[in-house]
Amino acid sequence: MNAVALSVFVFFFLLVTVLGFIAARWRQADLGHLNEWGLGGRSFGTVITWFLLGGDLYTAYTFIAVPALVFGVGALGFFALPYTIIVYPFVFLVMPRLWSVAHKHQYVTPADFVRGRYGSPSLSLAVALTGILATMPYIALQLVGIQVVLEAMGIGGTGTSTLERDLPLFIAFAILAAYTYQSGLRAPALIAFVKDTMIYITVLVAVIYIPSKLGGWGHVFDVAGQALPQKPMPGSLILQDKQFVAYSTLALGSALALFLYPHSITAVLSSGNRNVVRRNAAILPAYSFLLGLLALLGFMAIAAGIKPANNNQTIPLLFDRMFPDWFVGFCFAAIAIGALVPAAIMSIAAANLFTRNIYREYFRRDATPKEESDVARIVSLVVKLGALAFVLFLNTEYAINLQLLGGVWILQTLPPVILGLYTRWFHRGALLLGWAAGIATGTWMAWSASFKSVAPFTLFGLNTTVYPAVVALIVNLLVAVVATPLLAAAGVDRGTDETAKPDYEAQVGEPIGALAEGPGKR
Amino acid sequence: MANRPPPPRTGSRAWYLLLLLPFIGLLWPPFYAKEHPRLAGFPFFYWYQFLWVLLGAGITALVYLLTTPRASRTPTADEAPDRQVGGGAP
Repeated sequence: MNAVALSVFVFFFLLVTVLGFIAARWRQADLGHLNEWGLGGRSFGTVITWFLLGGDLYTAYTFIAVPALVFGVGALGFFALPYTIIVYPFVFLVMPRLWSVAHKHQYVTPADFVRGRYGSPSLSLAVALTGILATMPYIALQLVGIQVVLEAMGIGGTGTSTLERDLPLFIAFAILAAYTYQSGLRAPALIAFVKDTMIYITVLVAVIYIPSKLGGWGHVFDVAGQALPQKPMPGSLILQDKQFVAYSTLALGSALALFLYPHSITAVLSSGNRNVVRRNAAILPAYSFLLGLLALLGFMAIAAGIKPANNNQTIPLLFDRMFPDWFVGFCFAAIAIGALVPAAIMSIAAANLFTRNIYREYFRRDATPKEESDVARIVSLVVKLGALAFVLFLNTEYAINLQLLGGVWILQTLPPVILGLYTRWFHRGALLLGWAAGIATGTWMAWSASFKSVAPFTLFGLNTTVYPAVVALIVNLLVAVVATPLLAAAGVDRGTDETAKPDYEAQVGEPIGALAEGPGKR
Repeated sequence: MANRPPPPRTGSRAWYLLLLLPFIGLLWPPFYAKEHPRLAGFPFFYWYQFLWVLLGAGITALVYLLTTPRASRTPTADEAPDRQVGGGAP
């Protein structure tokens, strides 16, 4: 690998490392409180939240995998765009309610809300475990993202022993773990400014410069349109009739699932005001536009005649071919840093879940805020080590399959979390049964389709393919709807609801109910 | 705990129905799974969906303005509200 690219890469990596540690002093507060360590004091304004959520949702793996998918299959891979468009009207409606009720009752995690809403530790545990399980492989994939660019730069990957081969990855991760431990959510929030700026520059330069070298956009699409059907697994430039159901269920299911992931909810709850959340729903689509452009890099790779051994290498190889060395280093740094932000937030979110909904619920009822914060810090380390072990010792394929399953699983928490924001009609037992039925159905479908993102499905005699998460959610809802009156008739306890109707619309500054101690007051 | 009613809203809740438009425009691919007309080299399938990024953001922004009371719209009020309320460190 060329020294210029490597130096640029290392420079930016060091820059964000310094930022990660400085972040502990940014908007200074007592980090020995979970509200501060794990939610940044619930104080972020519109701009910080925009960078943080953008940095959180549009992950490095997305930047590798979406264009790789478009490179491989064409139009179907473009579902990422409708997915990230329709998610925001949904967020605009739903997330301010979650923000308000969480602020009022000092909930840190979605499982906290479920616990308070339904008075059910078991339903809350189901939500927490689903969140942790869905997040772990997602963190592992961020590491895969780093690994891909490291390999493309020729660092690591050539040694003979595992240690030698993966030492750079190990160092990157140790640094990430250290500053997350120290600074909590403030670290990714600060680094997100650098990460997102670099990603915007990378993609904008790429979509202007590369097509000009390849004979213009029209030519890029034409070449892709001719090449895709010739692939061993034929793809297409325009979506085929038989892919319609797959395309729309992938978009809808992914959109509904995105803000059920613990890392998304963590970023939402860290904002200082429900209107920050609403405003962000209108300005976050800027990232979606970027993602759409990025997806088209897959077609540019086809037009440029890139022949990757593994589709994940498509984008790094394209950049390496088209750009001068210093800019290649810049782009690779953008991707690697792009992995650090979500990985940090994901590990914080998983740590929050463990601390609040497992440790505090089952082991230490009277844990002090200091203990909570200490436990969360240690768990954030454990979670990351787990992800690292995953990538080092298991096939990448497992992480990808599990991440797919994670998306199916996390969507099954929609009825208690999202519908719970609107209604208490559902019986808590029925929601638990629905969740179990949804998880079982989705897992079975994904498994029998050998973990492809879509599974064969026959409906009214029509053979098509569908995203298993959506079918599983329908089963989940049916079970919950049927079981609710049955459990009520059987006289099973419905549980107490500690929330009240106005809590869901509460603004900042209204009295805080559950805890005497508010954020920022010590 | 004071259960005050939420502050009065500007406009009607019916504005929220506008948020359904992106779902209608995008979740029925037969609408747009075609190559022509092209725009600046982009097949219809692609530029149509890019157009929806702008439309979706515009609709959300519009609904925000129509349903948010002017008083709570000022961005300065929310940049560090908890700090101001709690009197914590700057």
